Amino acid sequence: MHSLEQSSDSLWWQRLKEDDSGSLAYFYEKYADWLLSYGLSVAGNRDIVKDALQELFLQIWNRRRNLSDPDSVKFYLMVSLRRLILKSVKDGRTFSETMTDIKEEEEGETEELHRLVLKAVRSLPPRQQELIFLKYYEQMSYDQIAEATGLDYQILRNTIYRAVKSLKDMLLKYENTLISLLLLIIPVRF
Amino acid sequence: MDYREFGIHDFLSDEQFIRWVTRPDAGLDRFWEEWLAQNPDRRPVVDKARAILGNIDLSEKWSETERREIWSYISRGMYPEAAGPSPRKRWLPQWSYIAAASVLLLFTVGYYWFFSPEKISTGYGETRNITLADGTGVTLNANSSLVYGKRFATGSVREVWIKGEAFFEVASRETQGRKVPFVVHTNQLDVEVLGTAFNVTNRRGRVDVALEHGSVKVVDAKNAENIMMLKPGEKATQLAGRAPIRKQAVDIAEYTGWTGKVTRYKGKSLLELAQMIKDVYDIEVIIESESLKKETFTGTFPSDSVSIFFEKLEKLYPVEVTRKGKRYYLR
Repeated sequence: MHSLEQSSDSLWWQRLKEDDSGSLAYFYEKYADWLLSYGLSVAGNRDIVKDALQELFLQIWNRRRNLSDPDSVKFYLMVSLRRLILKSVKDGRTFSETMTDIKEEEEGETEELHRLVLKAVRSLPPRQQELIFLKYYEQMSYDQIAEATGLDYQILRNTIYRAVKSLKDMLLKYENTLISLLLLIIPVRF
Repeated sequence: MDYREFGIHDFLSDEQFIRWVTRPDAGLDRFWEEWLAQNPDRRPVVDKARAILGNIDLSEKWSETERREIWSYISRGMYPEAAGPSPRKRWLPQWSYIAAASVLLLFTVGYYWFFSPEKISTGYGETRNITLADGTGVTLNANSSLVYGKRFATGSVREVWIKGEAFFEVASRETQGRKVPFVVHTNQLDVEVLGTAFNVTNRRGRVDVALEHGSVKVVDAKNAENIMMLKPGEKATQLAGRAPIRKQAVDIAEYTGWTGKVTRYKGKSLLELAQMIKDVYDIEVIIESESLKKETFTGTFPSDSVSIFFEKLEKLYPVEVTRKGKRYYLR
């Protein structure tokens, strides 16, 4: 995570604790989309993420005077959103059957491979999707993921291993596309 | 660990391999290049693993409507007293509630006026010159937008967000003897500078940063350790957010030329030109023959007229241009 980003985040966080409502808007502007991306990998249902996001920001505002100073606001938001989503899932709101709509991507061949990978990830069970998000999209270390999810290190590694194995199996069905796209993907070294 | 025995998924869960693909350094490059040279038969497996890893992009966005709905729900919850008449017995005269409500409204309006970001956009075929409050000059290419905060020039960092393409001439600025950095955010890369001129393209998941003079630092927004310094005449590229940042020496005029009346291209493929025309003019160019796609174009492209370009193309190549509405067909 970005050092410049973190230092400006903690400045806004201080202002938030001093009742500055604009700081909440700042964090909303900055992280709403990212929290959606993460939330969907936890819940697979946009409405659940939406409710959890609203609750998260209201909770922060209502508790603003008693907030701790997290090392990373982004990490704090992530863990809190996760807790709210899992709570609402446990309270009986079920995962939606419909998968997240695969966005109608722009044309172009790299986008094609993108879409295949996205589709494959979205068909994994939620727990595996979340771990793929944290490990490969967010590029967190196994230790950080263990801290965020409370999962045992070994279980974590095994789950990720299983997830990439099913990813690979799904993607190999498209092997021909994959190979024809390789030339475009592999970076040329100068 | 014997990498020879590795399948695609083994590579995908190997920390060293992941690091090489997502945040390569000289040591890792050397290790993997040597290993691949010694085990050429394993290259297909490695390439596939890299292709998958480089394409895990799980980013999603709220629609504008959803964004507004969520925020208005949150702001209603922040000031529940403003939500309407309370069922409780009044203990203040009515005028004081009205006064309180109008103060709150004023505060909110003022607040948004003060903090909401400025956004400047250009339509197809339009470019704009903008001078920001700190003296920085921005030329915004067509079908692009520039966003910056109201307090852009007064903060400890000058930050702007760009979609599409823009050329920056950054004015250097100091407060209390310290240089104030200028950061250009794109979907995936951040460009940090102190005072310099460069071109940024942020379209279709690909970001190009081409430096004219000065020096800039290009930082992966997802991984601050993935950094590249650029010297004048160099270009950094990142594809689809996940792949490494690549550096290349370029003819800088090709990247900044659009800010003038004509753009010079050297050995640009017709396919790339077609893509540029789509981005800038919203005109679809359909190249019907495969061999024509690879043909390259060297010459000038007038910034204000696409049709002159097509006339020129017909003279240069054995190609027939037909136009149907917003589409041009090349045969």
